Amino acid sequence: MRIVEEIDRWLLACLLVAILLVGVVGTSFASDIGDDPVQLAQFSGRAAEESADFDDFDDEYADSENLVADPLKYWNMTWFYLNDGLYHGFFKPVAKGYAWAVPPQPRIWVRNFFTNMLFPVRFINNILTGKLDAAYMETSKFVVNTSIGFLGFGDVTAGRPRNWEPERPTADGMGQTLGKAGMGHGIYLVWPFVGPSSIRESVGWVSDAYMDPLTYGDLSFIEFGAIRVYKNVNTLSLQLKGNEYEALTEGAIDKYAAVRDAYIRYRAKKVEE
Amino acid sequence: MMKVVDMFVKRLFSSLILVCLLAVGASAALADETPMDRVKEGTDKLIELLSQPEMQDPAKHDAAIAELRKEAEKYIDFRLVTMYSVGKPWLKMSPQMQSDLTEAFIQLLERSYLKRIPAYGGQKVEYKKEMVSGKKAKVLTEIIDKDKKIIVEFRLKIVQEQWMIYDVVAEGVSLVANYRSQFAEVLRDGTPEELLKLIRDRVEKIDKGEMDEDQSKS
Repeated sequence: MRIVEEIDRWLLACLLVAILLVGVVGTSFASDIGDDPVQLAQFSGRAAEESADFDDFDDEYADSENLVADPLKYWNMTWFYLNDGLYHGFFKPVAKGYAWAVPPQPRIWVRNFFTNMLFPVRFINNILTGKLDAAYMETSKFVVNTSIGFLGFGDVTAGRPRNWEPERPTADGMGQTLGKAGMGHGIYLVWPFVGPSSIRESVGWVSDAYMDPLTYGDLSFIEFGAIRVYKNVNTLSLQLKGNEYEALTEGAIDKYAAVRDAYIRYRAKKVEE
Repeated sequence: MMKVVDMFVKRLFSSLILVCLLAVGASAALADETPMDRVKEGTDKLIELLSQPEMQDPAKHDAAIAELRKEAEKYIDFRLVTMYSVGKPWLKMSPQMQSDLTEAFIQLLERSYLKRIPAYGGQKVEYKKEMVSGKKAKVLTEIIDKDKKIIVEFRLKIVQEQWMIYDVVAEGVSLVANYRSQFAEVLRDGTPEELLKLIRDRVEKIDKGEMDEDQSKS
């Protein structure tokens, strides 16, 4: 019994020390704040605290400076600034004029048509990544929108109760599928007209083209390109206000680095979901 | 003897649990509002402020920005935002440079991001989840547009007994990490002074751009 008593006492002592410690941490934290006027805290009080918890927070952003290999930086930058110039000097003014001339509804129909036509890309990649519920959803949407929605111009399934949301968002292309299979980006690449990419995403992009019905149309290269440009202008005309590209680049001090970081992180998130 | 050891283990466990509970109680007492409450309150206030017609009036531009900033600073710790965006070099900078950078960066963020909030005003914001670990927390929200869903994560830290936002992550893209990648490009072979100048130039350019747009409208 004496042993138990001794252990008891020992535990009590431990507990007291622990409570005191918690108390001290709590009050020191509070006094650290209470005593320092805000201005002083900016320079003295916070400096020590900042370097103390810096390492902890630095882990959170440790990968920021070497997110992706970019050995072709100057080649990439050339195309990036060309694309940026095309966006501001050509695509945006054209989309603005187009939006002025054509009311939103027909433009939404056109967007729906192109979205519906890319059904095979989403379907096959949903199957490949095991998103069977999303594949089923895409199929039922495609059947209904192509028939009742008149070749996909109308999105008759939008907002219907049966249009449930798949557990994981629907696949967006082969690049995502390859990423899920464990393939890395390789190196960062920027293509003229197409924009940010990487070796993996370029492979994905080409595979997606094989699943795009437009590729199999009896079209010359120029016609094909013109349809692509029209599709992009139409999409842009519906996103003139607050689009992601402008939000990202307007406040950037280095547009190129900002877009590269955002692109790689966005793709990483897509691969994760 | 077995019984004694058994008892010892039991006591040890119960006292450990008690210590844990006390610790949790202490950290909860430090901040009255939950991280999610803070994010919700902050976004509601900013959206309300930004939807006032005076915000769009060029004549009252400076007053509007000042008010916006006062409100934003209650919820966002811009010094932390700047510090994590700069990264390691921050620790070697002079206090003067640190506060100059923070000031310039606040001005840039106000013009490029805060002012854009009204464009997202019409959508529904759903507050999904809150994760707290020590002095850090994450709040997950979904912004739902007609046919689009944007996942936005707010990151918070306890500063002066309150949860303060220090990063916003939209669709996997962290504001702080995005700026760190840009600042790193400048600081790799440049000086903090050059970085400061670049930020100030950008602010000036945005202000000029707005003037042009206002003139073309009238």
